[in-house]
Amino acid sequence: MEKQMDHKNFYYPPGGILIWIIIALELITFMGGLVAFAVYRNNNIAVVQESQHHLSALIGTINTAILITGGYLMAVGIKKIKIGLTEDAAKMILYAIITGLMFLALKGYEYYDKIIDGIGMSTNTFFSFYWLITGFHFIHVTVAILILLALYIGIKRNKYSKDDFFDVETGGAFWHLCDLIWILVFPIFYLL
Amino acid sequence: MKKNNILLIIWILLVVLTAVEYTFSEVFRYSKIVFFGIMLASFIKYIGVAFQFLELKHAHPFWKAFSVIIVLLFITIITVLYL
Repeated sequence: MEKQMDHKNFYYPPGGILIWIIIALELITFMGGLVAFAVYRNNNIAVVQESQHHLSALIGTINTAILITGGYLMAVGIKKIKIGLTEDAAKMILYAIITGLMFLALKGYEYYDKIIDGIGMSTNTFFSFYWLITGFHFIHVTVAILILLALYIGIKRNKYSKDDFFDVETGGAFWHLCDLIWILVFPIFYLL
Repeated sequence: MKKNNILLIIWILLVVLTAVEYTFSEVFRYSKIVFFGIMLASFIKYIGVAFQFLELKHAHPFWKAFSVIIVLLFITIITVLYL
């Protein structure tokens, strides 16, 4: 049995300190990758702008809205479990999983479209960055969906309750990490 | 219920900001003003997700400061490189 933690304590941020160390490292890693891309762009603006025409900003925008919606649903799910509405929490997490699958499907379509056009990692440096950074993010979303699925099953089996929801909060933190990363990746590749 | 309403308002704000980002980038591609607008919108979205969805607002000041400083540093570097 686990009671609600004092998040004001340095060692207990929402989701726990271990997930926050992961969040910090992941943010630094992705930001480093995006800064490396920006350095490349600075010296190759024409190539980057030409390559960006092969990306659909509309698909990127829809995917951003989908991920933000998933983040919202997860946040509501955590609120629900904290007040003992475990069935509602499970429902919200299931909806969040669906948004994650929608994101992957749309991203998969985008990748398929690129492959059909013969655009791969070796096409140019822009697409090397594009495939690497969005590909790693794709893997993160896939892992996050599996985590949410485990949480959903756990709630359904009464493993979590209003007195024991630490895992749900931790899984939610990883889910939101995917949002945070995408919020930074999206404008760099699709809009600017 | 009130907390859920705050989350709903934040969600609507973030989705609207995303749509605005897209619209302006399509209409005024590669404009400096749009660049600043998109950076500002991205910052607001990042803070919205971190502080409201991830509940960073309840965390120790270290985690709040870390999250804000790192994104400000990132935006500053991107701005210097892009402009």
